[in-house]
Amino acid sequence: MTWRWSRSITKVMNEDDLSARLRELGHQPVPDTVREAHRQRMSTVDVPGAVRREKRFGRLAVAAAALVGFFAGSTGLAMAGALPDPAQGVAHDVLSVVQLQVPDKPDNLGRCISEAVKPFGDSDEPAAQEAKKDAKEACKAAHQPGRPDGVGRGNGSRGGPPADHPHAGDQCKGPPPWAGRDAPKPTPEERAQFRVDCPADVEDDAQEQEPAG
Amino acid sequence: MTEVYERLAPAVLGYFRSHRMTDPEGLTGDVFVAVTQRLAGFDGDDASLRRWVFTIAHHRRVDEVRRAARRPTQVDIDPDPGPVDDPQPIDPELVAGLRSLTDDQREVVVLRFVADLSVADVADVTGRSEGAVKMLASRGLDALRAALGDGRESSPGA
Repeated sequence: MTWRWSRSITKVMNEDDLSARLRELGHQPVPDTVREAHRQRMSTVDVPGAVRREKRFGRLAVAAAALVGFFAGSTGLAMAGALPDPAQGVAHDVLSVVQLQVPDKPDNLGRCISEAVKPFGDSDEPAAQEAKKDAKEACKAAHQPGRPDGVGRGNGSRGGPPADHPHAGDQCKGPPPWAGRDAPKPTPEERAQFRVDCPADVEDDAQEQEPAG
Repeated sequence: MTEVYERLAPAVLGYFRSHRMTDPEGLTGDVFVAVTQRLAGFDGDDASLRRWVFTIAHHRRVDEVRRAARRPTQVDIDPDPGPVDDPQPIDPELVAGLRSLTDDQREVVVLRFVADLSVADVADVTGRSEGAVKMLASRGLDALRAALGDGRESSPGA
């Protein structure tokens, strides 16, 4: 037992001695010539971040250009009245703030007319016919593009488009009363009346057949 | 950077010498060039810095061994060239004894004692578990002791 214990001690002492010798391998000084060569190599290294390559166009610039192009194109479409009805209405409201006049959406002109003539039913009496005509005129006048109220929901005015509007003095320019997704289908009577009022815009209806009777 | 070099260059050079690399000085320079390039992005204490530098040294050594294996063998005529022609031989007996270890044992023993890394750091550098590192270190020391003959008897080429 004493022999085994002494062998263990010897082993530990040898291991310490061996590990010390190994550690000494990592503490030998670097020769001067080698150190100088290493320093010269390290001095020529380009450290990242010291020189930044300037980008011509950053991400923000590209995003800003895309937004400008989008709004410019959208404004152009709005001025031509080519946007979808809801978007056209929004564009009208927004751009009127910056004094840009764009056509308002053809907002329920057909519905206005149909509601206006409904009380008179299918009466053929002259008075009823006259009243219907007046009601239609009022709806058309109220739904002209470029009105200052921006919505054109019919204020009872018989007046035409504003004097500064491109269509001033000509109520037959622009979409017909039944234009738009929400507008009800016009009756033959309404179409006939529109042809009488605006004979120059009949090319779309020229192909339609008049209902019998 | 100068301080890092002065503190770690001797250990890195000893690491490559212990593995009997063909050009330990050149490899040490490669390591510190890489350290210079990447030091700005390093964030840690002294122990983690040492571990990081020896990770670079370990990878550099592995790359060099693979590159040497692909080279034509015309310059390696003698399969057992013996001790490397080192102008400043440092404990040649010990370095020769390390050749008797397996590659894994030698790597662990050199990182553990020559590079003075902890068991955890050696495990991190070599990608092994701490238990495996301890076992390799223990067996490596036993093999090294046997190669040295216990009684400090030289056994060149063992």
